[in-house]
Amino acid sequence: MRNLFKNCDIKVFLTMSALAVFYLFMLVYQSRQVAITDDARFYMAAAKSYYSYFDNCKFSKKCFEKGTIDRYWRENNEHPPFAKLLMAGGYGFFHKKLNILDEIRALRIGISIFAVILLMFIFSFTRRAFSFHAAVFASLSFIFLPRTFFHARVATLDFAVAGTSFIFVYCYWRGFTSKFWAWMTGVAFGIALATKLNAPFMVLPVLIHFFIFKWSDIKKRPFKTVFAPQFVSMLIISLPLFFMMWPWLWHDSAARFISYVKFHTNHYGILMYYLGKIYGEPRPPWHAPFVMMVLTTPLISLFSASLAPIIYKWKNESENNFAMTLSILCAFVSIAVLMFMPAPFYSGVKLFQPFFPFLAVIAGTGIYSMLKSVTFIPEKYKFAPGILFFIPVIVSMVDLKNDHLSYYNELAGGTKGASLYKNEQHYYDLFYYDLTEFFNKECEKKRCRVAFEPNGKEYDPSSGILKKAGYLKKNFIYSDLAKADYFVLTHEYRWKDYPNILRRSKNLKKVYSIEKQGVELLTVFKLNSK
Amino acid sequence: MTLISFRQNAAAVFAIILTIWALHSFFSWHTAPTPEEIPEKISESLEILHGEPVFLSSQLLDKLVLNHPEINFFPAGGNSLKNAKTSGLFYILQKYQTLDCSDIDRELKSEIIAHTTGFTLKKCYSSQNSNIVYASSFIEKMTVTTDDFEIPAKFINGQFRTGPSGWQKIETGSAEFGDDFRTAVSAHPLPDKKKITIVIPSVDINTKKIVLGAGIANSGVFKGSKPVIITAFQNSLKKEIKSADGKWVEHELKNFSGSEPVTITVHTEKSGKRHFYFDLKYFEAEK
Repeated sequence: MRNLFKNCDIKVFLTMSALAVFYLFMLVYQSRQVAITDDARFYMAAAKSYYSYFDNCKFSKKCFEKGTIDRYWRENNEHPPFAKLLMAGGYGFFHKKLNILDEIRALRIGISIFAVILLMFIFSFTRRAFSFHAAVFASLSFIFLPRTFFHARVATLDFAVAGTSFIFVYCYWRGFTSKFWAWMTGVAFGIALATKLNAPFMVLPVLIHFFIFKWSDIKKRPFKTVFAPQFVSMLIISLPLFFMMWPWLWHDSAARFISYVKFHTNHYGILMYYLGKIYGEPRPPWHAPFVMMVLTTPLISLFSASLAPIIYKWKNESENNFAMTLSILCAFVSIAVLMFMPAPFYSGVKLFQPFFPFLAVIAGTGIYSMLKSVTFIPEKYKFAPGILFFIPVIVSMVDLKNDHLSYYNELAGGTKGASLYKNEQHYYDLFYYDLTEFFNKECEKKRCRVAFEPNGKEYDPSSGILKKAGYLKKNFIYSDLAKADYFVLTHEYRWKDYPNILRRSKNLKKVYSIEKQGVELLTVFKLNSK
Repeated sequence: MTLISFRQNAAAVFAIILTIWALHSFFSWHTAPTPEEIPEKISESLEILHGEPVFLSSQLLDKLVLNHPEINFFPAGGNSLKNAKTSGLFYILQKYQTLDCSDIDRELKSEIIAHTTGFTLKKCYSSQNSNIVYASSFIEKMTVTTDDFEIPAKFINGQFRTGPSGWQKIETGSAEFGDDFRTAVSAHPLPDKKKITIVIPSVDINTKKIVLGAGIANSGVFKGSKPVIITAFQNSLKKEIKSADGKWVEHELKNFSGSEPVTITVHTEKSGKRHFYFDLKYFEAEK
């Protein structure tokens, strides 16, 4: 422990702590008001089941029996468990044990705490590789990524895989100077494998980096060099750890593992509205992930990340073990996987969250490299603009309240620009908190049967989660349109029938709507009594 | 100043300008409201329409669809514009983004009807320049009965119910018929050869001809299907059409008049998966 802090001065420690506390506060503040995503029901149910497993079987022999495993680990067995274990941890500790958080917030907080840990890794990596100021800017670039911020506040897997992928790369990179981190590489990779299927792709940039960095050694001593401690650790630890962490694979291992891989290789297409066209199968064109990234990354982060490779002092690259090369490679591979592989693509930037920690590192370094040699600002204040650069994105984030999946940058023209250029203004079948509040008032003294279109089926389970946690009054009853008192139309062109539903709704009585930056996300109609 | 510091100074200046521009853009564009109402001058021109389709040029105008139910607006996104390709005459309400008649069909002629405060109303028409009114644009005025329910169904929440099942309804909808994309009246026939009777009221234009179009959408094509029979009546006049799967067919209703109601009956031998649509086109006589 003493070694751990030996190289860490008080300024660094306090700054990192302050950033971590600030980020945690932002993640937790108003977290009740973050919408429920359509997949939360799978992960929340699985997390609660995992919690019950640990709570009930207490590591007895019975824990390892097939019947017990099947009972508790069957739920959502198409995804590995790490993110759901984080959720289960939060649920067990903050809801079941301390009872200080309701069920929804407790299930989410594990991911948010992990987000703070990831932020510290980003800070540490950037500080060690580049500089203290670069680390501060990288942290701010990461905190103020609105869509990533949203993913860090909900009970889903996408943020977790961004975190475990980055930590794996961090361990690998530090492994060149520390045996501890070299051995931790295998552990981190094992956990990344146990998070989501896109984690293994991170091996590719790591291998390319290794060959660039160690090329002269490989030529001289190929066998010894290739078996670097990081790779040995990965070979020895990662796969066993992956299997160990996922009890579902303890029985019928081969069949269940094959079924897991098959589920993802044959993943059904999910609809996406992109540049005025509806895609599902076939998936959106190759450029869609890149364009979505360009339109939804704050301008300053986008600009400084593009600038970094131009103004970065490449001649010093070997001094930090090719950290910039590694960051660029990791960022590129994270997004390229979705651009150039025949994988399904949908839901904005959700599926390539591992890209963003690396983008933050590059952007932070870009801001630092730009400001450190600036001559028109007094020396004492030369890094001050670096903070001011984030004001536009902060203003946008405040304006969107907690609905940051509707964020588009100024280049895109905000949510309004997304609508103008026919991109999705929202997705993920979100059950908005404001909608919950509306129905709580409307249905205070009467039962309300509520129908949703164009994709109503997702709102039934989401309303169930909200009712169980006490967010939504029991008087709210999900219904089909024929029996409904209220009809919620979510404005989403990805559903082919949406224009017709909108036209058919024109004679209905509009009673409420949620709007972001002049664009309606949903409209509630009060229906005529039959 | 070294070359390096020049590059960094330039980048920093650009970043500052970018930040200021981003803030300006946020307060001037992001937070500005989108139109809820149509300007009076445009509204006056739209008031004289009889349900002709009006296509919006930008999704930012979509609020107008709900705020102006009296106008046959088509929202700007998705497949909406495909409807225009099958319309001989329609209008475009333009703001934010340009949409020309020729973007939809090169052969179409264009005429600016009104222009004010960023809004432009254009008329698009084929060479005949004849107004066409679609029965689907005033579905709420139709009367619907079935063999089981002689009391006319109420038009509630955008549809007439023709039975207890979810699919037993009459409403407007869009579908593909071969390569054609159309918005029309969706009227899924009832089982057991039961008839749906739809009375379409007269239109207040002087009509030169009426055309009945009908078809089974591509989604309803299957082997061994039975055609849907749609019959139009007016006094002693009668015209019967048998639907074809995945195809939209049109027949003129000779001697039918627009100043009297047209009665339509729909039935089939086997109602499974009959994604049936129909529409009446009333062509206005030259003034």
